[in-house]
Amino acid sequence: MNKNNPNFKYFDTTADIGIETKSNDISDAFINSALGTMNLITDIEKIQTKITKDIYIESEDEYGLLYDWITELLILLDSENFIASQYDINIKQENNLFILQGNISGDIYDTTVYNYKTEVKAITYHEMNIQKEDNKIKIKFIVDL
Amino acid sequence: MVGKADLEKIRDGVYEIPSSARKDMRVPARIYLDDESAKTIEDSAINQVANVACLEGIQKRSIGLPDIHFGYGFSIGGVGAFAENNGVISPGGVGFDINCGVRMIKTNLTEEDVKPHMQELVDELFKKIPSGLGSNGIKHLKETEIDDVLLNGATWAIENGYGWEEDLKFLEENGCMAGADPDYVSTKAKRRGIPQLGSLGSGNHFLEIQSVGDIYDESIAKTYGLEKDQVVILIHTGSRGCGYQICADNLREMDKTAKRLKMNLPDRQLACAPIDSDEAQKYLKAMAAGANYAWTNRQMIQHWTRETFENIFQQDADSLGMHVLYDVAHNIVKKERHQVGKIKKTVYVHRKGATRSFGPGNKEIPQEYRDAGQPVLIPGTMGTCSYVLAGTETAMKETFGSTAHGAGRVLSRSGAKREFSPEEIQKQLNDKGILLKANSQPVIAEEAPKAYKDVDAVVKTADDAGISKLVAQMKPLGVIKG
Repeated sequence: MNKNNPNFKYFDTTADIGIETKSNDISDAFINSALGTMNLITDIEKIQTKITKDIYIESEDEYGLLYDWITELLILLDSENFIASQYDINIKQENNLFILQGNISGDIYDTTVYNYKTEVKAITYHEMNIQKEDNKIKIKFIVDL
Repeated sequence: MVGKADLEKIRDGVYEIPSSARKDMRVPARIYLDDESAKTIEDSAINQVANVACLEGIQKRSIGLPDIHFGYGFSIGGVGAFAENNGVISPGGVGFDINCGVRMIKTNLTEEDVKPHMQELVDELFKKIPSGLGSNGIKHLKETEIDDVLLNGATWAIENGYGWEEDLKFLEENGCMAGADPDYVSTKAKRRGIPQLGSLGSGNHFLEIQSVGDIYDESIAKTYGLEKDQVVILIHTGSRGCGYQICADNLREMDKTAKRLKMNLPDRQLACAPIDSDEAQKYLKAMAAGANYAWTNRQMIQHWTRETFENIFQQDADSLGMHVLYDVAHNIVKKERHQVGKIKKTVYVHRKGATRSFGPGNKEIPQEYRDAGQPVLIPGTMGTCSYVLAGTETAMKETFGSTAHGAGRVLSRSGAKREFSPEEIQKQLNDKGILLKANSQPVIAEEAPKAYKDVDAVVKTADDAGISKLVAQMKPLGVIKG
């Protein structure tokens, strides 16, 4: 069902949890960051793709864009009960802006249908890192639970 | 970077790192710890108290409380007060869950009275009060109503039938913080908040039925209306997605401001802005609105708790004596007057994972309690005791009237999950006669009592150091968890 190839790992912090991914490009790295976050809430591979939404976010740098991207997904969950399990997005740089555009697919998050693990309050800037390594994009960040 | 090795003992329960320990510290960092914790505390949390000591306009000292642990920007269990004329405001000094706090409701029931009804009480409260992830409140607000909630707080709840007029008197700020302005709360924050009003949420939030155990100060306990074996209810929750988003929005803005002003911050999560700047003023208006959301939330949950007790005991809440003891905020920034050196100054006190602990005589304390000091409510974790303490004069002198707020995590969530199984925890609680009902099995393991610092030790340190005074202990009987 999932066209993305999830590739993320978790690392421990005392109070919360960290997510890291090594992906082929920046778009893939953002997708894996989203999948890693959503998988803390529920087993993300089980979420069906019944609803598709367009998404457009622009930020002043890649760090801001990652912050805004994860925040947007948490807003959709709290406000519309929508959780996405498949992401078709593209990130480009235009003038001085970083733009994320595309669509995300998922379902209404009903805890009688899907399992529930934990609540994610927010993404933090703490130890957030985005860097190129061996032709891959490595992202690391911590979420507040 | 400073750590344990830099701690100097001042007196029992009090350690300090002098401002000379790091070039960028403007004031000392003081941490309230027992000797054992001073050996085991994480260096990263100590360093965060020192980081706060570096911020512009900080007064007297940066403070870490007995439940200190690593947070983002400020440590959890952290206090920093900044001068009105040259200080800063930092959303990271409040945290994501604005006005996360605790409310205690009294009853005139005893442990004996409730024992036969415990299962029913826990089941009914669990059914009635929305909890768990993305839990949606029973009342679905209209878009236009959210602004009234953000502006008026618990007053809105009372006007809409969720409680009694007298409740307001026993809430910090009377449940409505002045200066709140919904126009400064983003649409995103409102969208997150609308469906969730009147819900407990998840994580460490809970509702607990408790009975009063040991009493340490008979006279103050009497003033607060507490006696041995009496049943009380503790509600621990905050401003839900609305508050998280207000914090996220403003951290983002201040991050840009800090970059623009080329502020040399020791940590990006410490993003802040001068108090008189537009950014700080906007945050304060939005934060107050978020705080009002949280007081409304606790007010509504209290109302449904009263209704549940009324149904089960077939008596009205008034005759069951279900009055509010008190309601405290433990993630907030407040404009207060404090003695700094020889003068009284207006300061903005950031309390992150810290409870206000105003001493006797303060006019912010309800008349009924004023001579005893402000009630301080310190919740334990699932299955452990909670405590009622009283604010002290020492807290006024040393900590800008602040004390600890709870236990404080010592084991990571995945560590807790590796070490404990939900079934095992559930069984341990049942063996102790504590009923638990939770939405999430993993949360039960993550919130295992041993994943937290010993709350008994936390309150003892706070009492020994004099920053709050032990009044009574509460033993858990039944827990509802998100």
